[in-house]
Amino acid sequence: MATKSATSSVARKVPVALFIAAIAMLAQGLVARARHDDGRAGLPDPQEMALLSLGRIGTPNVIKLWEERVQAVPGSATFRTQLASSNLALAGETGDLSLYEKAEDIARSAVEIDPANESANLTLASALSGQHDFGSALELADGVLARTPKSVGARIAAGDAHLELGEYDAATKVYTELGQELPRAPSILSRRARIAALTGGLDQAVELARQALIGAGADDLNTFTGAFYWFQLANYQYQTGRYDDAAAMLRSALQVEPDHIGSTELLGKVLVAQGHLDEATQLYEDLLQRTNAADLRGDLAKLYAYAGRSDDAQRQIELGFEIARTQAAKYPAERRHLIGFLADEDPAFALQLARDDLELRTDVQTYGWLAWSLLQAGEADEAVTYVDEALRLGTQDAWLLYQAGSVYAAVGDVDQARTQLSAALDLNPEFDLVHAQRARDLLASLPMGA
Amino acid sequence: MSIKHKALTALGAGSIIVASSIAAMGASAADHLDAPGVKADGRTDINDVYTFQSPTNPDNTVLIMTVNPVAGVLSGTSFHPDAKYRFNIDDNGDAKADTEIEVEFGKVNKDGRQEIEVELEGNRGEVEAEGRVGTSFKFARTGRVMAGTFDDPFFFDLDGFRNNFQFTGTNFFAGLNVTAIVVEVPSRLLGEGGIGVWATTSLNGVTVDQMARPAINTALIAADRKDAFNSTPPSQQWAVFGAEVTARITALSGDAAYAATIAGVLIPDILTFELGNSSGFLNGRQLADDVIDAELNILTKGAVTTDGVGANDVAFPGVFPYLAAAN
Repeated sequence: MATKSATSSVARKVPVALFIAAIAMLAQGLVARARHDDGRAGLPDPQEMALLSLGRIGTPNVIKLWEERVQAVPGSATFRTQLASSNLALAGETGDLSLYEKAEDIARSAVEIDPANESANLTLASALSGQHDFGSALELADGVLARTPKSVGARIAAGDAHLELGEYDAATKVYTELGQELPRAPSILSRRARIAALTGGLDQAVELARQALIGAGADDLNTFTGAFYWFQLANYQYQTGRYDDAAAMLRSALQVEPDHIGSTELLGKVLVAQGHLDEATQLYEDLLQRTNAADLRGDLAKLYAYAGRSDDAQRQIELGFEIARTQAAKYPAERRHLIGFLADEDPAFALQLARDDLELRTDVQTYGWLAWSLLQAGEADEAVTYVDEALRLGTQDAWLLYQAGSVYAAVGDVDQARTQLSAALDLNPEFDLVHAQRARDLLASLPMGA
Repeated sequence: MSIKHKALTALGAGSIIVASSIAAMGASAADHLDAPGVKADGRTDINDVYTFQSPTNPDNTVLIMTVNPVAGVLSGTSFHPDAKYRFNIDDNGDAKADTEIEVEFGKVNKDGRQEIEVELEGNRGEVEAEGRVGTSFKFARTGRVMAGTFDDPFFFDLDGFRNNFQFTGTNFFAGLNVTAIVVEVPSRLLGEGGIGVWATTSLNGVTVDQMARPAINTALIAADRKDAFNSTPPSQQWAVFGAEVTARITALSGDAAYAATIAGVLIPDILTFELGNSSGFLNGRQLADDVIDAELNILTKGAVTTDGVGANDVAFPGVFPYLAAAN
């Protein structure tokens, strides 16, 4: 009886086990499919987003319109604010940093005419943020909030400034409150995604960015703004190593707005990560016809060097240096991009820029790049003093983790080095054409059992 | 005080592109990609509502709703494919719609056009028609419908107003566009004698915006109550907002008794119109009516009489669709 019973029990358990296994496989399949789709279902149709903008005049024409208005009515703070705002829009669209200064001048003239004008003050704050003068931007936003505490625009401006300054609790508080008031506003979801990403919640960031994109698809946005939401989602997917998903999102972004520079640039990184180096090279060459940036020249130089075109690579580095020298003094906003490029080529210059950046803000990326610059300059002991600050939020960013791991390795903290380097490579195994391999090499070189 | 038509919302801080850099998104030029600010969807943002006797057929009434403030610049030029745009007509004075003219649009197609469906439904008949944006089409035998982009018919010295009533007579809206739905309909389908008109936009059954006379919500309702005003049916507006509006007009005019009388006229926010009467504001609202001067006078009890802008910068054509061509 006992045997029979046991047999029966086994006989019953086998189908149950199979059933459970089948459910588990199904669930795994669904999860895998969901991860692969990344909720593609429900995302907006990029072509429809592009069509919505057919009736809009381009930003250069918008600028011309407001310039004519300012000329006709020089005393109008409203026209000046609109002119400043459209210059900011063009700065974002083209990457022309001089437009931030121009926008600042115009916005200042609007504030002089009407000191309490909320739009004028917030536009000025935006122009200053664009130049990375986040402290002044915060002062302006706080000034508006003192008069109109519920101003959504001022709260966003304040939250953004706090975030850039590394004042994460203050930024989180602002975004959380705005999220409760405007739970489906794409711009707020977008900011909450960024906080999630910074605090180690990349999956949550992907989900929030996806929600933001869905919301944006229902809005009437210009194409550059619409493309931004595709770009943001792609960025977080890229950071988690989901290169195919990221590439698909970026191609959608470029369907909405073919001239979206950020999406083009990120697509270059994704193509590199996917191993499509020829396509990436062509992309960077085309992009550099439109915008001239040292870090882009540096990326192209890596591709040339990888392909054995050392002369072409050297030429790109020289061009990058020219840009870096010119821009470092003129555009503090470019400092961080320059550090990434210069740390490989001129560590002393990079270190100076990184120290300057720390004077302005204390966000995790600033500490990360300062530590990295110090390491490249041979100052590993000082570098390690900044790593804790760089990692204080638990940010899951391959570059940040790689920087930390490299510093730890240099000072002999093998366990921490292994932990951070492994984390970087697990997260985004092809985060850079050169440094991902260096991370692997460094990890392999660490003494075992330490 | 903030007298405006709804286009001013698009020029205010609520819609400003707050350019915060996304520096930490990557060590890349993404630094200068601006995270957008919160912005109302211009497609469902009603700017102005007009109701007047047809200049070309005295038996018809013209209803116009404009949306998309500063169209093509701060807003797009399309209509929301999921929204219902509605003219509500009360024919018995109870501030409830007895007849509705509902307009819906399809998605923007590859040539940038949208299909449009118009339906009049009420106790005086039902009429339907279909067409395309940018092209006028027949409606209810002698009527017509057209939706598209036009010169913004509103005129106002916005800067003078913002500059503490130091008006210079500059029409801020000169040369700017708006999108509009123009419906000309036989008056018999709307009622007899007096009617009340207000426009609404809604998404998924929820009212997004609501408007009749210019400036009521903006000038007389507190900032944190404007959304509530937009979603409160006219029949309930006096109960909910009557005291607030009376107090506001008292502050503006300095005369409580006068304010009580005026508040009773302005709330509920319905554009009253005598069918077949060719007079203008406050009898409906004609395109050329200087509503700002009228409301400045009313709300300040004559202390401020004009903004110095007496007409639109472009002449109105006088024939359907009555709005001037887009700039």
